[in-house]
Amino acid sequence: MAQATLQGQEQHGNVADTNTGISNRKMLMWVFLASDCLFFGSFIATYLVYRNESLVGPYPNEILDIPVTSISTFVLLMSSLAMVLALNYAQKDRAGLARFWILAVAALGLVFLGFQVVEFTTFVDEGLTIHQNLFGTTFFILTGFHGLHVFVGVLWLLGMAFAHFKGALTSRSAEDLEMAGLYWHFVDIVWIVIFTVIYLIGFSDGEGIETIEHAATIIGG
Amino acid sequence: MTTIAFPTLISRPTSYTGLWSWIGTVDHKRIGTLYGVTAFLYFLVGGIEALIIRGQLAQAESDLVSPEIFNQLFTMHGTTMVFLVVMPMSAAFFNWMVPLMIGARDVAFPRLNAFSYWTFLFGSIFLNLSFFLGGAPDAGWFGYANLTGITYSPGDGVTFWALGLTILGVASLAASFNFVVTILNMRAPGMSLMKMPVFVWMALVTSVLMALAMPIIAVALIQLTLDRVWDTNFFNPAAGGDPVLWQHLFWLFGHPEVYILILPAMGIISEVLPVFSRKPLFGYPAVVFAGAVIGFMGWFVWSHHMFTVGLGPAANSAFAISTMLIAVPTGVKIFNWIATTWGGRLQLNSAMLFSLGFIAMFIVGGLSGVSHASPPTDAQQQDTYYIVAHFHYVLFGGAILGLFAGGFYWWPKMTGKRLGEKLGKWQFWLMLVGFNLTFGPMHWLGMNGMPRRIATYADGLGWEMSNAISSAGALLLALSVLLFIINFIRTTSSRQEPEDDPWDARTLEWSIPSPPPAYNFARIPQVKSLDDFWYTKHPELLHDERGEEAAASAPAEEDTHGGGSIHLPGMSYYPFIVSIGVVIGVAGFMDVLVELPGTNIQFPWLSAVGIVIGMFGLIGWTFEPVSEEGGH
Amino acid sequence: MANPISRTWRKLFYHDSGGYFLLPEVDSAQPEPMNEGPFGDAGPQVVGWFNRWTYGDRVATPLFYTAIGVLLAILTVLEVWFFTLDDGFGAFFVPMMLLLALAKFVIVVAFFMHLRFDKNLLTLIFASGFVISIAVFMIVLSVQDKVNPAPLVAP
Repeated sequence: MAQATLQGQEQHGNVADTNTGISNRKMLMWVFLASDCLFFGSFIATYLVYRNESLVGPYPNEILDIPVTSISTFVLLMSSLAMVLALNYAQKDRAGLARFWILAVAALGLVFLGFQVVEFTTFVDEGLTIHQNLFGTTFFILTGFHGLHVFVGVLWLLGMAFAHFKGALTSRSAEDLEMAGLYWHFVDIVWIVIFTVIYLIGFSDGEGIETIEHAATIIGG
Repeated sequence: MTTIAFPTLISRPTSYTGLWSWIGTVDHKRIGTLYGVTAFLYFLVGGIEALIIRGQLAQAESDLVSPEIFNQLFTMHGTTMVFLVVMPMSAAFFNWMVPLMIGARDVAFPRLNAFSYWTFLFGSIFLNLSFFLGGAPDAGWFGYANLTGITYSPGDGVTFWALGLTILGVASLAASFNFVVTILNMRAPGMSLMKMPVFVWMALVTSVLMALAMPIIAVALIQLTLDRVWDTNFFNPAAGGDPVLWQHLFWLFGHPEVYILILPAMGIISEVLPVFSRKPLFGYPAVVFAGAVIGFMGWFVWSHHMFTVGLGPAANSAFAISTMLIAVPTGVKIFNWIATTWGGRLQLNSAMLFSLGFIAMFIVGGLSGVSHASPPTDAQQQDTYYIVAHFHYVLFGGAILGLFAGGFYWWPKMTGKRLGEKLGKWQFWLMLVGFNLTFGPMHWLGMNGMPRRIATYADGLGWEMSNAISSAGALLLALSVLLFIINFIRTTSSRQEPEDDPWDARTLEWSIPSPPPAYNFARIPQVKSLDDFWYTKHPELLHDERGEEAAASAPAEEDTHGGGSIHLPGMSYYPFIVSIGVVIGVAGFMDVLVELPGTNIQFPWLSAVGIVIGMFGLIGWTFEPVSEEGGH
Repeated sequence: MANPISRTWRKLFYHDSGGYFLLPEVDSAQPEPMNEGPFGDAGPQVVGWFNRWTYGDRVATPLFYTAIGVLLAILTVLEVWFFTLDDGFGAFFVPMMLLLALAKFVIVVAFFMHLRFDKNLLTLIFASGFVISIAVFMIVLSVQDKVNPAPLVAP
């Protein structure tokens, strides 16, 4: 990812020099994000194809902890807000505030990862591993790859916060931060989809659930 | 840039000759040459594999190679030709020609471009190392689950295949991002999208397809690798896993991949045909739109590879219709090419012959393709030699002939020397005859029920004659490739006066010296119309006010970049280092896992080494200025 | 006419740019007169407010982003609240959840990722990946009988 951060200064990197008025690296970032849509799309589709296909437990409705995951979802959502504030202040040459909000993003990202570590260890203790059943395989690999993306994002942001070179975190180099921000927001929207599809909708998956109405009564009860 | 003070980890290469200058190069022309040479070497490797296959099948009950070796040969032949020949050879032409055709001094991200090449090279070497490290992959080039599972493929071959293709996918993704940005952002002033050469359009469509299709196969390969290495259940029927999911993921990538292979060749002949017909391309907007429509519709036809899986009548019908529909834009292109040559003053030199051969052979392959777009017909043809005949007609008769056309057409630009015409024509006719002898009889073999991928067959099934003809044709093909090598050697050692524009061609790359200087364009061209260079040379051909204006106006003003102060990106070793890190990181998932103390997690320790190397390279890359202050 | 696709489209078909097919001029090709919509000038008014509020002077304020953040938080609370409701919305549960997720997705992409303020080409690039992803994987799920799965056991 980091290779994208300084690419824009390569040849013809200035906005004025491109045909579209979009800097090279910003377009690179968006093409990468479009491509990453297909990456996570494939993993989510795999999860959905294997919904209700596990032969042995634990099943999602026995193991998923919606309240705890709601909190971690909220944490990640708020990190997105902090990210956009950091960029906003960098664009307005308020480097100190920008650095504060970047550190807030990284901290919230680490909190999210902490939640994920706790969740994974709990699940393993309760007998759900990547070997156990299809739910375990698809769940751990999907959320694990998402966690890997979060981790890379945290490293990237910490690098941005602590790289004390001249002009950092000001309007001159705000685009460096914007690249990291685009990546971070993308990680967030992937989690928006995962939380809804795997946790809220997928919670009803389990042994002996035949229809959606049946699932609804279980959720309600 | 230069205000960033950061210790230089590894100093840049300084010399512009020698081995280190090639390792550190970021020049799109040099990287294009590297791609081309590597792809041609793999063309020979894949060709030798094909010759052994044809030798084995030349007669019934032959035992030239064992069935195990035979499986490895056809798997590696397919994988090599698709991923290590046609794709990188197209990338070679993209690298060489796209910046020249759009009037740019380099691609948008020169170092990322070098990273793509080195990752491709190391990935391909890693894949082929499997021959010497316990056996090559042997499960077919589309590696159907659960034959690729650890139960049925216990050796390391399939792991090599999955990890090798993952590395190649990283290389393709980086290259595709680069070319999308280059084409959209770096065009010369005045060159709007509808004034771009068709080859650049096809490069754009191909790059978009690659950017969106490669992640899908990456996911499938990751799942396969984890199944094999970490014992997950993605394709494990014993745990409820569904092998059909692999087929969906593979062909979701695999069908766009087919267009990734053929669209560059279509772009090449769209450049060659107008030049040697002395006419503009007929219906430029239609050709461009057809290419874009193919790029979109190519996403919605993948299940025609799976008609016999049993997806049900509704799915089969829908995909049959979309498959037949996609023949329409392809047909549009073919009619446009034929109309381009119609009434033209044809110059039948080697490049033109290969282009015309492309049209003819691609029509044959396209028609056989439409025939198995129908599910009931396909049920008869699935997994027979009829399919083998079909895809060789589109990929050899299509892509390879098109790439040879591009080679003959652009050789004078790339090297300053024309390839020998006499040997070129001999090569073309030998190749055309040999090709039809090799793959034509396979239609009949398929109709007579000969299945794909059998190592041998019994006497008396009526397949002997066709197989013998086919193998004889393969020898002719080998001979024709040998002629190309001789032609290459003779041309390289010959003395020729370099010509800037030997063909009186239409596009911008011919407006600069051959071979092009490192900075390509001394001044960035100003583009006013499609085929601008042609109308600059022949303003009288524009019969409208634009033509009079062009004829009257003086040459465009000097660009501000002109003169002696052209800044070129500096050479860099970091892409090479990051590639090494990526390859070691991915290769770490081979059979070298260690158990972490206190847990039962199998840890790929070699990957950690690769990540450290990659991080080192990335940090150096990030803080290395693009060019030295005052460097030229 | 900044968009190359629409420009090409005009060049091919429209009467006013010397298009290749020279289609005749028709009434429906004329721009709608102002204030003659079914709601008078209420429509343009609302659009104007929305544009001013979201577009502003091209760099939105921290307050604006905080408001968006609060909106996202409310949507998330709604999601979890719907999930815990007693009757669970029956068959409407899944579409409702997907709609809420899509709303959050679009809000983040449009405002936090600045697509609302950026060149349309970036929206086109991202949408191509997103739409193709949704389209092909929906087809995979329906082909694999996962969109409206038949009951495993007869009710």
